[in-house]
This record gives sequence, structure tokens and C-alpha cells, in this order.
Amino acid sequence: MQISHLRACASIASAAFVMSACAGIQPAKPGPFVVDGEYRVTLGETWTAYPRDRRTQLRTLTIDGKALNSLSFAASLDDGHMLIHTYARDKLIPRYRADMTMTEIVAFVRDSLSVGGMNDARLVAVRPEMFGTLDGVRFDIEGATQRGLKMSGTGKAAKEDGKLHLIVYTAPSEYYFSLHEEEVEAILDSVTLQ
Amino acid sequence: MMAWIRSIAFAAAGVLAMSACASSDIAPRDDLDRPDVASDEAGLWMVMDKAERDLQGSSVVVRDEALNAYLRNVTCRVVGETECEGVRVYIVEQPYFNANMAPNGMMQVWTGLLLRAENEAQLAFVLGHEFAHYHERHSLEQWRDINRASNASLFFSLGVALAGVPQAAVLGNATLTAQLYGFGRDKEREADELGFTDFVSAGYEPTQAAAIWDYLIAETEASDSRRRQRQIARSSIFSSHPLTAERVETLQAYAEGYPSGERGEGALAAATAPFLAQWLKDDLVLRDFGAHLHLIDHKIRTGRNLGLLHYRRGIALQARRDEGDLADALAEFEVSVIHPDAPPVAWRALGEAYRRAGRKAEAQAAFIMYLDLAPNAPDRLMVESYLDEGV
Repeated sequence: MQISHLRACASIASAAFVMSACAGIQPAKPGPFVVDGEYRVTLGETWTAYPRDRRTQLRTLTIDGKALNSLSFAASLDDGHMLIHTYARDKLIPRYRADMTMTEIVAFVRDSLSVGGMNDARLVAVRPEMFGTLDGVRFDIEGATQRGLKMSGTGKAAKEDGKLHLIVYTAPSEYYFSLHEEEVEAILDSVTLQ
Repeated sequence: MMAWIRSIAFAAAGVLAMSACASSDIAPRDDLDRPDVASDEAGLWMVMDKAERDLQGSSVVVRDEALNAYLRNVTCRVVGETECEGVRVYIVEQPYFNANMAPNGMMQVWTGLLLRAENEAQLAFVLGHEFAHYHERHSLEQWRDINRASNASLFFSLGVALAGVPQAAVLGNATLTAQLYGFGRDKEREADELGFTDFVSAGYEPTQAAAIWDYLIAETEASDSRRRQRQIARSSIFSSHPLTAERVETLQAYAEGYPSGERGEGALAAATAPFLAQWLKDDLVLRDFGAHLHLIDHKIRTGRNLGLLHYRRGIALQARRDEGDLADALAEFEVSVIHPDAPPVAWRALGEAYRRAGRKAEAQAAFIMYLDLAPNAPDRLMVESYLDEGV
């Protein structure tokens, strides 16, 4: 890992530490974690939970700081929804469509990650997997930050009445992805619809 | 929000004040030596050396040896072997049409340019144009203007940072880049003229200089983005070369005085073919369907890579989802798989399109063909689940 990345990660981590004192960022303790009243997962460790983003509707948890591990949840996203928001009002962003196939859904997630800064994002595995009692899709992604830090990701998604439930975990491939991989796998396996 | 607008306005006012300063007349570069360490030019080189080190470690650099060797050959052919010794070419994976050359000899060629150039001659003209900016030391003149105006770059950067606007990390200080490469019309015309001279001297087809700008204007007009449409005749970070019909006409007039030359259509197509699928995918991430479809249609007219291009056209229509797009996408996938260069995923896309249309038997056949052609496909288990369910 390059020094500049370590420095950037450290500053992000310290910023996250300072921010943890702010209202809205709270510990998510081991046990049930409910996502927008639509489904719940079971956490095995204590995570730091950021408030739900009003625009993207993502709820993000992290243990070591968002740059080092980021576990994002979304529930019941509507047709036309975007996972990225930008200050550039005219920027064109990938949108979820209610009639997307599973293949298109994972491509939508991959493209959203690309727009969000993951360079050369590519799907390395896509397979069917239940999301609670729903037929869902499981995917693994690889890419890199623009500065060259290799990133890995995994997640699962499913549609319920045309609305999208989504969980995505991303972390640097080196050390951090595997650090909490077992915990993330258990969380992904624990999805239960409310 | 108002604070944000105020910060931007404050910073912009500083730059406007700066732009009013008189510019100096700088002699063209006449050697490959680094500038005297005591000079202001050395300071500019140091900034660019740092940017180059950052770029070298970045994931956006395309490191394929064959493509890099090809691009270096084209560059050296245009600028001459001696001058080429001072040039280091980096292919940068960014879907925008862009190339630039820093005063220290770092040339960036973005993949969006390689994707759009129809032939080697068009690429060579753009490289010659950028080299002309370098040779004439246009950015040094900009740098002196910046420093003369009470370090306006720092001023503007702070204004933008305070406003909370992110900057593109590895591509350097975006504000500085915009100022260094945001040349005025006179310098663009000069670079066109000098680049044109180098390019025809290297034996390229003269009409292709105007052709690349002409194409770019047409693609910009086809864009879904009003902001991008407005960029045709003004300068910005991603469109630092004001493109006007007048510039195209001037280049067309230059071409009339020269004999025909080499286009190099096959050479560029062969060099970039292994990357075409990835670069088209990158371009679609921008979700500018108007520009993207214009690009694909332009490429289809060349008659090459038709399997891949019809597949990508289908994917774009499927993503856009205007009325009739899904049916049109299915038709594009059907055309794609007729061609021998169709990627295996075109069969999967066709299978999914048939599945959506309720044409189960055809979907099943397409999925089976996909798995036959791509037995190690990353989504094999997904497709097998469709087949297990009877599609």
C-alpha cells in the first residue's frame, strides 16, 4: 500500500473518529439491524452506523472508517432511483429501473460504483442467492481507486414488487476486505424480511 | 447553498481579474534541457513532475505494452524522433475526449480520444496540436499570468475547497489544469496551424485534421447534456479547446493546398480493437445516451467490429429504456450474434431479451450458446438457474 493511501486513509479514519462524536453517527451493536422497516440483518460485531443518506437512501456501516470498509444497505428503492448523488446538476447518473433483470441490476450497481470513483469496476462472480425469502442475486466486484488502491466488493440484491433491496460491502483488497469478510458473509446470510 | 455560491463567485471574480493581465511573449522551446532551477519555469516543471509521479502510480494508466508502443510510434512520427526524446506518453483510462501535454514533457492521451478517432491521421493531428502547445510553451505563459495575479491558482483552489467542491485527485489540481490548458482562441489557432504542419509533414491525410473536430462537434450536438452542448464554443476543464465551425473551415482550407496522404484506418483499429469493448462500456457509464449512440452509429458506418458494436448499441438502448428501446435492443442483439466478432455476452443479452419477451425456447437456445462460448463466465450459475427454471 502506498504511503499517500495510508495517509489518506488515516486522515479519513481520524475524521470519522472526530465525526463519531456528532449527532447521528451511532454505534450499531451486535444483534438485529433493521433497514427502513423492510428487512433486518444480524450484526456480529459493533459497527459505526451513519445516518441514512436522504438522497441515495443508503445506510452505511463501517468498523475502521468508510474508506477502509463500507457496508451499505438500501431498501425498497423506486424506479428511477440513483445510488450516487452529485453537486453537478447536469451530470447523468445510472438509474435503477423496476423491470431490470438480475444481470442489469448488478450492472447498475457496478456502474454506480464506477461513477462513485471505483476505476475499472468489474463483476467477477454473479450467482443466484436468496434475499430472505426473495429470489435474489449475489455478486462480487473488483476495481481500484484512481490512485491505484485495489478494491474488492461483494453484495446481494433482490426485487420486491419492483422495488430494490440492496446490500453492498466494499474495502481495499489488501488486508481490509478479508479482515471482516466472515462477519459480512454472516450478515448477508442473515437477511430476514420484516 | 448560498455560501457555496458566494465562494464560487468570489473565486471566479479573482480569476476574471487575473485574466485581464497582459501576457508575455515567450520564445518556443529550442532544446530538451530542463529549465534553469532559478527560473519560474522550473517551478512549473516541479508541479508537473509531482503530477506525473502521481499519475504513474494510478490505476487509470493503461499499461498495455503494445498499445503504448503504438501510440509512442504515432507521436514520434508526428513530432519527429529528436523532439520525441523529451516526450513521455501516458494513456489514461477516462471516457472523455481529451489529450494534453505538460511543459515537462508528460503527454496524456485519454481513452475517450482513442475511442473516437476514426483513423491514425485524426489521432496524429490531435497529438501534433498538443505538441504545438508544448513546443510554443503556451502553458508557461499561462503560468506567468497566474503568478502575476497574486497567486490566483491558490486563491481559486482555496475558494473552491471552502465551497466543498471535490477535485479529481490523480489528474492533478483541476483548477490549475483548467488554467494551464484553457488556452485562448489565438493559441488554439496557433496550435492547430503548427500541429497541422507537423501532421502533413509526417505524411498524413490533410482532410482528417478538420474531420476529427467536425466529428466532435456533431457528437456534442447529439449529447443529452445541455451543459455539454454549450461546451462546443467555450473553454472548460474537459473541453479546453473552443470548437467552432470557423476552426473546422480553417483546417479544411489548409488541407486544400496539400496532396493526399495516409489515413491509417486499419492501424488504429487494430491497435485499439482489444480495448474497444471496455472503452465503450466506460463511455456508457456516463449515461449520455445521445452522444454514446452517435459514437456507436459512427463506428458502425466504418463496417468494423459489427458484432461488438450492435451488442453495445443494444445495451445502451436497454439502459435508456425510452419507448420502444427494449424491442430495439432485442433486434440489435439478434444482429450482433450474426457477426463472428460478437462477444459471448451478446448471446446472454439476447437470451435475457427473449426471456423478457416470453420467447422461452429462443431464450433457452441463446443461454445454452452463451455457456458453450463462455464456459467460465462469471455469471454461469445465474444463467444455469434460468435454464433450470425452464427459462
